[in-house]
Amino acid sequence: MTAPLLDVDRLSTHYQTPTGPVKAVEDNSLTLEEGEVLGVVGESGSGKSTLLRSVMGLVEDPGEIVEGSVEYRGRELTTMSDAELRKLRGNDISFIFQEPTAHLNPAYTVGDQITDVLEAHTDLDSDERWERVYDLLGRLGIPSPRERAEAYPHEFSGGMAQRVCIAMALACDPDLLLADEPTSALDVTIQAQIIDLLSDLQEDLGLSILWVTHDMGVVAETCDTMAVMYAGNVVEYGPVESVFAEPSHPYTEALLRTVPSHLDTAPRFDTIEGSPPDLQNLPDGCVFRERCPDEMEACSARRPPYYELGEERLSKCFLHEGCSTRPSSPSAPDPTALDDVTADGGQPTEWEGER
Amino acid sequence: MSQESTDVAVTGSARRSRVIGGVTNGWRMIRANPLSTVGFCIVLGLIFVAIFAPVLAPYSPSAQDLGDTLAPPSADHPFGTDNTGRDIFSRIVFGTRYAIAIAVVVVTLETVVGVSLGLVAGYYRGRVDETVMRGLDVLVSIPPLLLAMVIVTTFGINIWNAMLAIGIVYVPMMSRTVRSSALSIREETYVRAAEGLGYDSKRVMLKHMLPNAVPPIVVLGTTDVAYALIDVATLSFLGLGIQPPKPSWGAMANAAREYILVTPWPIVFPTLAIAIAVLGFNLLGMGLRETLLYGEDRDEVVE
Repeated sequence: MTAPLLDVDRLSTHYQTPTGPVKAVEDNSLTLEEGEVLGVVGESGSGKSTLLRSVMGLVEDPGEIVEGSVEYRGRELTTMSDAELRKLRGNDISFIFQEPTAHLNPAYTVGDQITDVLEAHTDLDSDERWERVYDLLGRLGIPSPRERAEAYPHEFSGGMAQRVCIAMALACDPDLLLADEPTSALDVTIQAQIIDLLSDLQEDLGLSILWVTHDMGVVAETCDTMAVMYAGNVVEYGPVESVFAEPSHPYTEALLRTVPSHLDTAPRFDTIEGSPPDLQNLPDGCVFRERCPDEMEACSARRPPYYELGEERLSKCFLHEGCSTRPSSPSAPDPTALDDVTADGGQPTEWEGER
Repeated sequence: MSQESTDVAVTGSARRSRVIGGVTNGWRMIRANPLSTVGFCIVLGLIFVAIFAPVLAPYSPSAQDLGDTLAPPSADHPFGTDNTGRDIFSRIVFGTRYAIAIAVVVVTLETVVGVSLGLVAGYYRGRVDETVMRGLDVLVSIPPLLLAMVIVTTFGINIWNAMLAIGIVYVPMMSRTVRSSALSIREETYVRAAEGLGYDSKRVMLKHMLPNAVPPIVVLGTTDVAYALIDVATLSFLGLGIQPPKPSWGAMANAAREYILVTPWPIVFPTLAIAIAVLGFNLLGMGLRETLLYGEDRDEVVE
């Protein structure tokens, strides 16, 4: 088996504040295979965007990756020099973001901005670059690309601007696209268009996409695998169909219940009781414990490890006690957890065994 | 001014339509405000006089007529003559060349150095920013004209040193202005996006931050031309700027000082020329400030 395109291992990203670290991403592991789409879902503030930014070392101050590794095609990104990272960014790994108009420079025409990416990363001459721009814009469904390339960002609607951003991201034929809620700022009909467009492009170009969203519908429609995030933790990971059919973490289950369906006749949306914990002051044990309907005694003792449920499925929940744990993804290094390993009678994880 | 705005448009891509677009754009911005329109006309007039000085001046600026010294304005000599019988009108016309050229060189120097320092400080922030800005604070703590005089007297009295001295004196103001814009532009989403696209710091600074900081630079640059005119005239008046017999407005005023009780004309006309030139650039700068920094809707400016 070849190395996956992107392998995130035990990654923790904290924002250092005067009152202590905000643990936006804590001990998360993900893999993304070549040509696949991985959806990361979770509520606002669950650390989805920070996870995505951590992958390319673009976490904003005062955030920093405190632990873990990110490997792209077997190359470690967290320790890579800025110059090497710059060669990858925009070239092999590209981004699209939530607010397309804010991501375009108001001082240049969109054509100029796309040629700028090509100028930075390729040897094409000016004419070839412009040909590529017209080609890209046409491919992304922008009518009369030659004229529109001369227009400034403020002359574009949100949906059109997002198409331009996608064109910029795809200009250098990247292998991996990191999409941070690319459709959230758009209205529903445009969302559908952009999602279809990205899906088509993904198939045509064999792109891999790490797609951060809070929309379960998007995940169901576009993704191959999904990761559910809660309070900085990926609590469940697995193929989309099997996660939807058989959620193995109480949070995923609760989250899926909240998705309104047109078949629903119930007059109210289901909600999850309570609110997410403060990332600066996470509870002991499982992060979802306080809102979990299935809370057990074991839950407050330590962070659950990743239990392997077969078919590439992982769940951070003690309900699966007894399943094998993933060695590279132990529970958070919490001193109390070590004391409790034998006390709660659970299988010590291999990582804890090493200690 | 229109020159500067076209330059900005050209950097993106050297396409002719852009240049034409830039010129019409610049003209539209100048027209948007009566102050800048008047200022621009005066500046155009000065440039015209500077270019066509040999055609406009009836005499050579250094031709003496010792039989007709300190003459009042007449048909032969519209502004009169000075103590060696040189035609004041011709000398003022030729003096325009020096005044404009020097002021433009000073502002160019100020802009290149000031913008670079400001961008670097605003981009890197932290320690780099502190170092650059505190260094400039030291420069600001010395009275500007005094500093210019010290530089000129230390490195030799000639026009190049005078320009260099005044240029250095103006750098802190430009750097501070650019730095403050750069600091806020640095936080803009598109600058972060530019980093996400893998651009190096040079490309981010010059292509993605600088163009968005142009309006305050243009405004300050234009106003500083006016200040540079005054300072060059002052240095020349003190004998540290343009050296006689070159026709300089400041030096002419200085030479005429001795005869002020005999005849006022040799001092009135050069100072008037200085005043008009300063007024022109100031009006242009003020008008552009209203247009570029507060939008073309003038009502917003009036508080």
